[in-house]
Amino acid sequence: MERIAQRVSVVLAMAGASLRSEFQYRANVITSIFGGLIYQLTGFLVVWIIVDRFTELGGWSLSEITFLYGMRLTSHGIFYATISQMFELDRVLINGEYDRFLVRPMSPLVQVLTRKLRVNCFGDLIGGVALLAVASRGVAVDWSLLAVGLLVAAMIGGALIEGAVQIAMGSLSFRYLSTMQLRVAVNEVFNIYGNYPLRIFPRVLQYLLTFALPVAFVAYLPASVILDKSDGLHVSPVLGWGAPLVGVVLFMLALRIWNRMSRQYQSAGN
Amino acid sequence: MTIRPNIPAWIELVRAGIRWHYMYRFNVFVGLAMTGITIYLLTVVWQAAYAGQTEIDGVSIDQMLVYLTIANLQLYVLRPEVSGDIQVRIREGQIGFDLSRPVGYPSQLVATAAGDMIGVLPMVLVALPVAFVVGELQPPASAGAGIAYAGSFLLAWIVAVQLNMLIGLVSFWTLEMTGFEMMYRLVGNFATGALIPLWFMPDVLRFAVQLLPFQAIAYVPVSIYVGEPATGAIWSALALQLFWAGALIVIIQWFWRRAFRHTVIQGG
Amino acid sequence: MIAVICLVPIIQVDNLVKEFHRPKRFDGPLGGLRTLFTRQYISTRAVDGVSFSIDEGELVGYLGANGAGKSTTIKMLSGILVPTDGRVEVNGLIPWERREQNALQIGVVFGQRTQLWWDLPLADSLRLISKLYRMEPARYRRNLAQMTELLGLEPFLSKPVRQLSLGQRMRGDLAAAMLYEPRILYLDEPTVGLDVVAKERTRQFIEKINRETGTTIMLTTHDLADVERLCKRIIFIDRGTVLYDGPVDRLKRRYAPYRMLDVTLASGEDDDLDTDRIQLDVPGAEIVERGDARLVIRFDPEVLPVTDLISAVIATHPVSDISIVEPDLEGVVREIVEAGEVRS
Repeated sequence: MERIAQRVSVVLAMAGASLRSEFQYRANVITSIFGGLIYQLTGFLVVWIIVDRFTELGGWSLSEITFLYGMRLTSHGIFYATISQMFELDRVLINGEYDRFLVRPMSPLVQVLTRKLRVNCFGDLIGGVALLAVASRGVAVDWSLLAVGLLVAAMIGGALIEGAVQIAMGSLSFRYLSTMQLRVAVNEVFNIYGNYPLRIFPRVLQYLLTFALPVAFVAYLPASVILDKSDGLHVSPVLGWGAPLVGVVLFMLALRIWNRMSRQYQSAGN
Repeated sequence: MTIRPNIPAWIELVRAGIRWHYMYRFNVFVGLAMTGITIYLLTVVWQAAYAGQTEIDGVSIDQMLVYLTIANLQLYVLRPEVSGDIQVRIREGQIGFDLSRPVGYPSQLVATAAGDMIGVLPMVLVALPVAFVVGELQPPASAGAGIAYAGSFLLAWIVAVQLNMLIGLVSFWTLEMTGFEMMYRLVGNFATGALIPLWFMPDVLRFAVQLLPFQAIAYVPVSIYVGEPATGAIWSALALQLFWAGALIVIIQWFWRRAFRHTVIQGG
Repeated sequence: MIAVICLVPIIQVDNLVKEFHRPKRFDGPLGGLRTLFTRQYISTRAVDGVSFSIDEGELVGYLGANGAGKSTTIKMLSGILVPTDGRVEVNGLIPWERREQNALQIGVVFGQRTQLWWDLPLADSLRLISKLYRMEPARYRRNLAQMTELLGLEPFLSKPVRQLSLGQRMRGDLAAAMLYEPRILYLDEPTVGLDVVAKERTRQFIEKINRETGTTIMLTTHDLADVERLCKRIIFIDRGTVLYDGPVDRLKRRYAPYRMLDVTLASGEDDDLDTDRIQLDVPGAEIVERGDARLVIRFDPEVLPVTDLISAVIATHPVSDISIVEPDLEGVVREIVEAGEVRS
C-alpha cells in the first residue's frame, strides 16, 4: 500500500514538472488553450447550425446533440491530458529518450506519458464541461446519483478507450517505425464521427464504428442510455451501461500488447 | 513586390514541390483518406438533416451533396503547405538563407505552391473515384457554369496561396505561433464554406463570414459549379474573388516590407 | 573508508551476444508496403561473445571505434537491451530481468543527451530524481549539499537547464547520476564537447568519486586523454569481440616497447655545441634525433633501466634538462584498429 502511494506521488511529481515546464512559455499556453477551444467549438458550430436550422438530427434534439458533443469533448480532454504523449512516441524512440526511461526505476510507459503536458487539453475540458452544463438544462434527464455516476464513469471510460487504441497502435512502433500518421488519422476518426448520433449513419458503418473501432462506446452508447434514447439503437442498451467497463477491459488489453511489443525494443543507433 | 522572371529557378522550385509530394506520399495518402472521411461524414449528416425532403430553401439534396464533395476535394488540392514550412525555417535560422537567394522570396513561395499543387494533381485523379463513392459527383449545372467554374477555381487558387503567404509572413513576428496559427486555420476552414455553405448559415454568422476572404477559396467557385447563384450573380461572385486577390496583394506587400525590415534588424 | 572484501566480481559478463534483426528495406513504388509485410531480415552481430568481469571499486575504460559494440554492451549491462545469448550479472542481478531493481543501483550519464528537465531549474531536476530513486529527504539534502560543493553547482542551481553551458549541464548530469549513491556508474562519453578546463575538472571528479566512495565506474570514451588520466585497466572491443582486457601500460609496452629520453644539453664553455658529434655507447639505447643542444634517445626499459641511461648520458656531457616521454596511446589504438587484432 505504501509502495503504491509512493509510486503515485512520483507520477504526480513528474506530471507536475511537465506542467510547470509548459507554463514557462506563458504566451504559448494561452494561445494553445484558446486554439484548442476554438478548434473544438468550430466543430460544434457546424453541428449547432445544422440542428438549429433543421430542428433535429436523426431524432436527436439540439440539447441532446449538445450533450453528446460535450460528453465526447470532455472525454477527449481527459484522454488528451493523460495519454496524448503517445503521439510523440516515435520521436522518443528515435532521439534516445526511451533509453533514459529504461535506465530509471519506473515504468517507461508512464515516463512517456508524463514527459510533457499539452495544454490544449484544458481547452477541451473547459469546452466540454461548458457544453454539458448548457445541455443538461435542456434535456429531460433525472439527474440521480446513478445518472451522474454513469456520466462520469463513461467519460473516463471513453478516455480509456481512446487511450487503449493509441497505446496499442503506438506499441507497433517498436517493430515498425512511423505508424504515427495512421494513429493521427484514427484519432481524427474518433474526433469527427464521435460527435454524431450514429443512427444517422448506414447500418454497416454503425457496426464498424462499434466493433471495429470502438467509437460508439466513447459517448454515443452511454449518452443514449442516459438520455433515454435507447429505442432504435443498433445494439443492446446494455452496451451503453457497460461502456466504462469496455474502456477498462480495452485499456488492460492495450497494456498487455504494449508489454509484449516493448520487449522488442532495439534502441536507436550507436 | 516585383516578380522578376527567373524561369529556371522557378521551374526548379516547382519540381521540388512535386518531388515533395512523391517522397511523402504516405502523408499525401493519409490526407486524402481524411478528406474522404470528411466528405462521407458531411454527406451523411446533411442527408440526415434533409430527412427525406428533396429540397430546402430552393437547394436540392443533390446540389447539396455535390457541393460538399467538390468543396472538400477542392480544399484538399488548394492547401499548399507553404506556411508550416516558413515557420520551421525561421526557427531553424534558414530564413536568412532564403532571403538572400537570387529569386525574390515571395516568388519563391508562389513557385513552391505551384509545384505543390501540380504535385498533388495525380492524387486528385486517385481521389475522384473515391469521391464518387463516398460523396456525389455530377457535372456542372450548365456549360456556362462549368466555364465560370474553371476561372473561379484559378482565382480561388490565387487567393489560397496569398492567404498562406500572409500567415507565413506574420510568423516573422512571433516564433511560437502554434496557437495563433491553429486558430487562423480553423476559423479559415469554417469560413471557406466547405462544411456549411453560406446560404445555410444564420444571418449574423453569414454576414461576418462574408466579410472574410476565405469564402473565395471554396464557397464561391463551388456554388457556381452547382448552379446556386443565378447567372447574374456569377459575375458578382467572380468580382468578389478578384477583389480579394487584389486586396491581398496590397496587404501582403505591406507585411512583406515590414517583415523584411524586422528580420534585417534582428540580424537575419 | 570501509574496506570491503569482495569474493565475487560486481559485474560479470559471460559470452555475451547481441544480434540485431532489421526488416529488409525495399525501395521503389510499393517499397514502404513491402517493408512493412516482409519476412526477410538482415542480421548484424553487434556483440559476438564478449566476456569480462569487473571487481567493485575498479575504474575501467571501455574503448572501441564507433559501431564496435561498446554502446550495445553498456545497454545490455544497464537493462536497456535484452541479449541474444550469454549471461550478465550486475551485483547479483540480471539487468533486463530485474530492470527496476538494477536501475536503483546504477547511475548512467550519456554525454550526448542530458537527463535533466530542460525548462526547469537544475534544483528541480535533482529533487525529482531524488523522488524517482526513492530517497529519504534527509539523505537527499545531505547528498545535494555534498554534490553542490564537489561540483560547484551553487551559482546555477536555480537556472533553467536550457540556459546552462555544456560544462554546467554536464556537472548537473553527474550530480544527478551520483545523487543516490549508486554502486556502479556508467559514463558514456562524459567529456565530449567540453573545453579543456571542464574536461580536467570532470576527470578530477570522476577520479575522486572512485577513490573516495569506491563506486565502480565503467567509462566509455573516445578521448584517450581520459583513459590515460583515469584508467588503470582498459577493455578494448572491436567488431563485437574483446581484443584486449588488461592494464593500460602493458598494452602500451606491447606496441611501443620503447621510451624516449629527451635531453637538453648544457652549453657550458663550448658555445659551439655540435650534437652531431656526440656518440652514445650504451647497449639498448639509440640516438634518434639531434637538434640544437638537444638529443632524443630511444631505449628499451626492459633491457636498460632509465637510471643507468641517465648516468651514462650525464657522464658524456653536462645536461640542463631531461624528460621521459611516454608512448602515445592514440597511436597504439590506431594501430590496433587497423590490424584488427592485438599483438601478443
